[in-house]
Amino acid sequence: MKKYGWLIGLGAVGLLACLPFFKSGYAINFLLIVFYWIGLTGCWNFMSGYTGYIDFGSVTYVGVGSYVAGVLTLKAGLPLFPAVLLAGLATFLLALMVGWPTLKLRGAYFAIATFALAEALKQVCEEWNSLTGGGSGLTYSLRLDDLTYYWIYLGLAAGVVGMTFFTDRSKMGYAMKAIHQDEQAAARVGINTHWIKIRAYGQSAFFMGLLGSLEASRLGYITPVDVFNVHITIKMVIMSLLGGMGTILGPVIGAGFLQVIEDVLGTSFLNWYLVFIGVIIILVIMFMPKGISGAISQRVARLLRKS
Amino acid sequence: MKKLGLLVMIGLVLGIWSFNSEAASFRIGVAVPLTGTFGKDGALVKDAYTFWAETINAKGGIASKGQKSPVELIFYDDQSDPQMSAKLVEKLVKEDKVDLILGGFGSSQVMAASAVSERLKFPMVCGSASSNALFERKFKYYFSTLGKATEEIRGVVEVFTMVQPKPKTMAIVGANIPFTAQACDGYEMYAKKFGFTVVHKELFPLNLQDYNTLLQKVKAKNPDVLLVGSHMAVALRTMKAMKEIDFNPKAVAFSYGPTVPAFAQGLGKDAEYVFAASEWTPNLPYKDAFFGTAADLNKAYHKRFNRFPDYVEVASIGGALAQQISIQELGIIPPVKEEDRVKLMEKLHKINIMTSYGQINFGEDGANAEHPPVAVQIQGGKLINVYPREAAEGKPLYPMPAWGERK
Repeated sequence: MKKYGWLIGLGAVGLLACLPFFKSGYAINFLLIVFYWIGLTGCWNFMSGYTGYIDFGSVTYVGVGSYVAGVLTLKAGLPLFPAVLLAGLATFLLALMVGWPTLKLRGAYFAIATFALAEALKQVCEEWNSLTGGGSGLTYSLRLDDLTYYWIYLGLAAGVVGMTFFTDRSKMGYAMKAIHQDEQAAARVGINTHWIKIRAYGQSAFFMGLLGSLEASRLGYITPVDVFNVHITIKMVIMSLLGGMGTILGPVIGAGFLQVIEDVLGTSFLNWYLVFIGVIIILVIMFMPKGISGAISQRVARLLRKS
Repeated sequence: MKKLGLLVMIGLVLGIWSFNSEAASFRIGVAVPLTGTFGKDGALVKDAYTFWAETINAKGGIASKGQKSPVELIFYDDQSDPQMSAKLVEKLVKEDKVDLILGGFGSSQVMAASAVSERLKFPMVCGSASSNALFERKFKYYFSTLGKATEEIRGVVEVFTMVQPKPKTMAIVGANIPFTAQACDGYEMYAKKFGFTVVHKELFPLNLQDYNTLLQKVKAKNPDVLLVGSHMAVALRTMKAMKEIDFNPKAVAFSYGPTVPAFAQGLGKDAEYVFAASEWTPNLPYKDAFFGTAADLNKAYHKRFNRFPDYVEVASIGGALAQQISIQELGIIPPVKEEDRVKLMEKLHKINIMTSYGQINFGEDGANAEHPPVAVQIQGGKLINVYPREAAEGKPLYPMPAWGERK
């Protein structure tokens, strides 16, 4: 099963890539947003789920990505794809710079530092009127069509999940898990813990920058308050928790599950759906401490033992 | 006998039911924030559209092409999130197959949502988003009954040219989100135009906790008038902080907040003398064939929701009405087809009508060109129209007494 996991994954991605030829309309719009959140949650899970360093400022990279690509396309006249790639590069480098000092901090201090970073960068974008348009926001001039976003987001989500899959069983993955378990012991057996953390952080920031800048172009308008909104970070955390932190499929299940129930319940229970969703989240976290994917794999393991 | 009565009742119910099912209805979708930052504001918009639909349905529906078709509204909550707002417009159009849509609330949400409706060729008439950016995209399908954010506040600056002694200096503060930031730009522009000196201008984060320090800085510059780019929460906190630090300019004006009844309720007597920008008051000489005069609309609204409408609600009703009148004049009936919506868009650019909300004339860029801004002041717990002069119910009270001298 584990051996052929990547084959199954590739098959699923292939099927989803062909879906628009059979189905059009809202399903495509709905799924592309699911892919977007699988991508973001996958990034958060890659760093925080595996190393145990809780990042409360992930939205930083979504926001910075949005603004870098926005400024490059509007002020420097770049086409969208180079601008998006440069946005990813910018968030990658920013993560290295931020990670260097902050990842020496333990646990809660890292969470606080990253949270503060997001707020600080929001202020920068608000104050730097000449470049960012300040509080009035920026209107993107370039946009792709919905189907292109669908395939790109599918590709990016697959890329993030694939990265997690191949890292999970690599030397780096073992090092990340070791840091999560006991960082001092990991350092003592010769793992360069600081570098491993920075690398994981940089990799996840790169993808967040790509996703953030693409989504900004898709929606067409950004303001500091919207793209540095702490709710984006919280959504990544909740989806990771629901799906299962530090697992390969956790972000896929968590993001998919939350988006689906939000869509279904929001349609039928306008005034109460958020209450229901809250209750569902609490129940999952209470009864499935390892998330939905953790609970499923436990079940499967038990069944296999029985047979 | 009883049985006969029951039979007659059942017959009547069935009759009404079958009569209703004959006429296809206009299904109109709205994505509006009911939770999140703008949850309270969005709820007002939802009430406004509900009131419009109930009023029209009480008359049998929209009369077009010799038949009457009732209106059915479908609301979704966009959680004050632009991504969600865009997605829900897609859902309404592609999955729920609505005939028409109406605008939601808040610049960022409406920016994202209207970009979708533009691509899908659905006219979106909105009465509750006024950032200038909305009109700078050369969109053909977006319309707003409100004036632009930088224009909406003209009245609360110009009103100070009518008071004695004429104030000399003004300070401007505002929250750093599109609508309020642009209100501040408008304040600055008009202050200079009317010959006032701007001694301080500062934008602050929407979630600012410490208003006292912010206003201490302003107090140190001793301006005659304080102008605030605000939403409801900002307006409330500014007033509380002004009292706490005993900051006494001769007048204070807000871009949005005091016209919502909750403002005066929340502050009680402290709300006195506050100026606010508005686009509508019930004493204005506006009227239409569906809601009667502005005063009639005000009364009917109070009867339905037990509170008077804010100008944003009336602007939303005006928007729904503009779309309805265009439909009637074009003779569109449900189900509405794409070519109908193209015609509707062209029609909306041309209309120039008087409604209980005031003149509606969308012009080339979709902004309501004709709509004069209004200034109101809270006097004796009521919103009194003090500008423009020809519509004023009372004189602006100026200067306002210091906190320590109030009874």
